[in-house]
Amino acid sequence: MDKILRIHMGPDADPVCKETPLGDYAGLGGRAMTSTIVSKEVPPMCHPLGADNKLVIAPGLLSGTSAAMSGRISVGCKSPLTGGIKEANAGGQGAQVLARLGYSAIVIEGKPKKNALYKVVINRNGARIIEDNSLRMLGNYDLVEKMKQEYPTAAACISIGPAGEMKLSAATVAITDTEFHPARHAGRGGVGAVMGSKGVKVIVLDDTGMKMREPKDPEKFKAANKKFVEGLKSHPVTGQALPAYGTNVLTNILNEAGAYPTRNFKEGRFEGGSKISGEAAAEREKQRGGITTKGCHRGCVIRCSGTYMDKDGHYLSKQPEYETVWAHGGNCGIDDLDAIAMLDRLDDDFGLDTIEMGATIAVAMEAGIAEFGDARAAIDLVKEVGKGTPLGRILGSGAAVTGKVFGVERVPVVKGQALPAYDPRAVHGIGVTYATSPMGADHTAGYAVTANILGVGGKVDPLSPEGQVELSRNLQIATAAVDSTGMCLFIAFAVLDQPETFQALIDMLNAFYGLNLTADGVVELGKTVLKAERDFNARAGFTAKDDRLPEFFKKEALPPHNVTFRVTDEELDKVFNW
Amino acid sequence: MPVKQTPHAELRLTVRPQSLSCFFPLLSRGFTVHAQVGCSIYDLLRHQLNIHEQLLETHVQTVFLNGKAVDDLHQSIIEDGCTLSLSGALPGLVGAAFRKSGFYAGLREAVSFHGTGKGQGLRPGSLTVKLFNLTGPTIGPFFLRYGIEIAGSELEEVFQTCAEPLFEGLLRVKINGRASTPAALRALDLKGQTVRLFVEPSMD
Repeated sequence: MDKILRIHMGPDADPVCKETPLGDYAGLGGRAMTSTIVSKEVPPMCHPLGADNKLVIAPGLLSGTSAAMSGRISVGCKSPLTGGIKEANAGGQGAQVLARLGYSAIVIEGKPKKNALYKVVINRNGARIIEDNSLRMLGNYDLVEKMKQEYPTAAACISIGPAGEMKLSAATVAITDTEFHPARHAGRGGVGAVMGSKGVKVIVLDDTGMKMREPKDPEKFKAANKKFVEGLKSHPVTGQALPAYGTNVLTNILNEAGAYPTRNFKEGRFEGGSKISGEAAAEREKQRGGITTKGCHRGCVIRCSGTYMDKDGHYLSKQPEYETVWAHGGNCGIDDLDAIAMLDRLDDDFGLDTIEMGATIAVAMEAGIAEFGDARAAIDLVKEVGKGTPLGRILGSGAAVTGKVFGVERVPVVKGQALPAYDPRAVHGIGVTYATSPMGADHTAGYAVTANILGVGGKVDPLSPEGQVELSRNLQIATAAVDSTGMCLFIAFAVLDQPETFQALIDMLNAFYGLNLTADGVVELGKTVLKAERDFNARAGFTAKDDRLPEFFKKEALPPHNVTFRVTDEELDKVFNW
Repeated sequence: MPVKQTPHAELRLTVRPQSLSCFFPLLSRGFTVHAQVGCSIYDLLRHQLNIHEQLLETHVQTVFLNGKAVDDLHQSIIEDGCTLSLSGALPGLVGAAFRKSGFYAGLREAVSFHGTGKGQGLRPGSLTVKLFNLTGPTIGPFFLRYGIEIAGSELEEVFQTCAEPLFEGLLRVKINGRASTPAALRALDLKGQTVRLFVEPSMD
């Protein structure tokens, strides 16, 4: 991983691939790499779909090694959904293969001079860009099948579906998983639309002949990785709950707490929650011969994914994640797991963010386009997006646009991006992160619950309003740091409770690169990333007024506990005072 | 001779341990428990259900009383008609926030349960219990042995969806106090009835 692949698409010349040394970007990975390149090289006021925007794809610092959980890939750009900086990340095989091919990042820049579609093929001999208009409007599933036939030794694909080609703001970048299904997505912020604007349909990665990356100190690295894996396996979340039920284990709990946004955030509890819970899904998957426990990339030891089969026992989709089940389920009043799995499949095939699409359909239902609870109508609406009808293009542009077009007041977005599956009126602390994250409403922006171990900003009283703000700040810093390592965020659960597991992660980084990184160094990395992202947004015109939740969270009490969001604007403005 | 059915059927089943899992999906949807109320959550679980101290500490990480997150099992009192939900450790920031007495409990202060530790004294009553995720396999057997009350239609669903492993592991059956057979159990029409269900694991 000592080079960057720059793909210049035009319009001054035909598309060309060029390898460059890392230069100032040495030592960066994942989100640190994408956000640093975007903040330095992309004019903040540029049009997100124009030639000046850049799409940056970066594996993590330990991707391509034998380190467990090191398979996250970051995709960054100026977002067409939020207008600010964006990093969306995904699992799948892309990060491991790209890293083994020696690339710290792919940067796609410029814009083609003609309306053509391209594929990029990368193997041990380098990268080639090939015009291929036969791929136009293919769904991700057909696309990767075609690529596998053309390039039988391909190990992974990074691609867009029709939504990306149409440059819709809810479009994703898909990454193939261990079965070569395009089921893992860098989902948020419309990164797929930016890839579409560059005219790149798919990047085919073939690491035949390439070896696993070697650490500088193999013995220390091996010992640290062993300790890290032991920590993950012994923890009740990473060792038991996630493997057994996946992320959807949260449905019953959020619903019980009255914090499960239901029917476009009108209520906090869904009467059909138990029917779509992780427990119910695991039971159904077992009955139909699906797999309830598998990793999304090789080297994963948590294995929180699975396969969801249809009634005839054929593969329909990966096990839908909690956010997907919520967005297309409770948030739309739908309690049918088969319908939710079908919506997940359609989103993956068209290349759409499941959170944004679920939130958008709920807004459309609020507008009267369909009835809450009508699963058939929800499926038809997503198909409209895939077909690119006028209604579909509105829906594919996200909840904010759809709310405006149909005159809906209750539109749950921050910076134009839909809120995920935790109602901030019940869980104020996460509301602070939704409001202030440079990414727009994002549940993973403050996900890495390591702050108490890192001691970022000192100890705080979590019961005070200041405590909510302090915690959110610390969590956002810690998350930015974990995202930069390229490790799966789910490692954070074990790291929270087990300091020795956190130390094992640092030891792995040090043994691999020959560094002397400390916990303080990790904190500094997180702060540096956040500062760069905040700075980009400020130059793009964002102010404190953009760090707010929609006003209905303060005005409308959420049943059953009848609570409102009570953190003041003044408190929110303190989040980034460090 | 057909067994006479009552609106409140009582079923006592003895099963091999591996068949217990057939009942776990029922437990997450909620069931009724008749118990002495007016005591703390801890007293109910530890002294009435006889759940081991270590199981409570390690496997019951998240607790809700009437939908509010509980931090102290000793201070939170079970009242007649309440709903008690138990869960293992959960992922994510929100999972950490809902964990009892966790570092991030303040993030969900708006929906926290603040118990006084004072009840109105022990008396017979009932409560709804939900056992989510891994508390089904770990805590569920204690409730099944103690006795739970569910809708007959829900039990019929278990008989249908889990027929093979359940009836293969079914050792003894008592219906309304009388010894019976697996075939009679399968033939029961439980719709519209409430069932008091007792399930005892056995290595026989």
